[in-house]
Amino acid sequence: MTTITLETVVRRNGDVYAGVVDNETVAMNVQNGKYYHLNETGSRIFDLLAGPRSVQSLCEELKNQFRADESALCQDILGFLGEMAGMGLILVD
Amino acid sequence: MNQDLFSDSMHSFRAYGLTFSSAIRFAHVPDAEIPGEPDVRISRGEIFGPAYSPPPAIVVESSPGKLLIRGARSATIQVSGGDRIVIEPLPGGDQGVIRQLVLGWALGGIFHQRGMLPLHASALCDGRDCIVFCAGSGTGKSTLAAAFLNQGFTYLDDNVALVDLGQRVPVVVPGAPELRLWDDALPGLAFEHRVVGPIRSGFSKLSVAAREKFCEKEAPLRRVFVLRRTADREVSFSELAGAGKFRSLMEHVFGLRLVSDPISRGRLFQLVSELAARVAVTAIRLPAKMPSPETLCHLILNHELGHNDMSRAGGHSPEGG
Repeated sequence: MTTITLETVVRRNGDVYAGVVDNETVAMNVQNGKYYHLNETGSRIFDLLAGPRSVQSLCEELKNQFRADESALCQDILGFLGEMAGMGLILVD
Repeated sequence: MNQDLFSDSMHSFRAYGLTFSSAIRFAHVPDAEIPGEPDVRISRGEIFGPAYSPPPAIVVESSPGKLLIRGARSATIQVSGGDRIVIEPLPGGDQGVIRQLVLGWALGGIFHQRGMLPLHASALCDGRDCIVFCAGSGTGKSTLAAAFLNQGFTYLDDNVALVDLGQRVPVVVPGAPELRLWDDALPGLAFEHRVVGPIRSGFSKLSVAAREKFCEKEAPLRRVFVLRRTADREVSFSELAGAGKFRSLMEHVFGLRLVSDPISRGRLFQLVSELAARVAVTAIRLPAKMPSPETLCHLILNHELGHNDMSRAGGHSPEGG
């Protein structure tokens, strides 16, 4: 599994379609047919990855939205991104 | 069902918003005058030829715009372009099985190739709008539908609820005027009906035509019910939302296994997520000891009363029970 750091550039997997149902994000990888439910944080992260961006820039934007401690938030985001990469929802450049 | 499967003349009929020209006559569907070219042609033809050896068990091969159903003993069926079904019967192939493959997987292939949204469900109309019951095979969907028909409802289809999302509200399109019932359900039917024959030979589930109960106009979709057998002690209802709602609808797409290429999956995902965003979905947990279809029907109608002012179909008592 690729190690994701703050300098890593990540982006949405183009094979993943996403939609909103009752304020929840559902996503499907059309290559393998698997579908996923993204929680609120996962949905926000997925929304912010319309184009490739570094994890660092993602942390900065979410820090302002969540008004959270940056270090703890970044660790959580790195964890989320690792899971999302494992599920094929995002790609690591 | 001793007639030849294929007719000398073509039969034209309407179903699911499409016009068909078919070399097979389906006894439950009346012929109709269709001006112009049909949307779908069903014909006999050669796919592999006489030297072909069928597989030991049915194989389904799907790719964009093409579906190949390779039956073990019945027929090979090719569905292409969303407008053509070609059937090559195998020697001694059971006519009933071939008919069911055409009305099942082949028709499902047509729906998906045309970008339509079919649910494996019964669709019932109360004269104003419709409700849809999704359920796996053997859950009792058809006998429940018959109980609603006894209460004055009409039906759009007993097997496929074809949903059109292109209007202000989602609507269900009229399908085929056929009920599929076990023979022990027939004495309880309180409306005119005609037994066409077994769904396939050696099978006690029957094809039943009930034209007077068929709803010939599309109807707005008010609610989807998803029936699930459980080990519970009583019937319960829960409103689904979000990802759970999406998942329930996706699991009940008719012919879902036929959708195996990325383009078709992406299109289906968009349709199902749009439907999930626009329609209410209620899960019904059915207990281990099933209530009678009539009792279940009244429980559902009473549940609906609690949600909205539902106009009653003729003959239904407000008190239910």
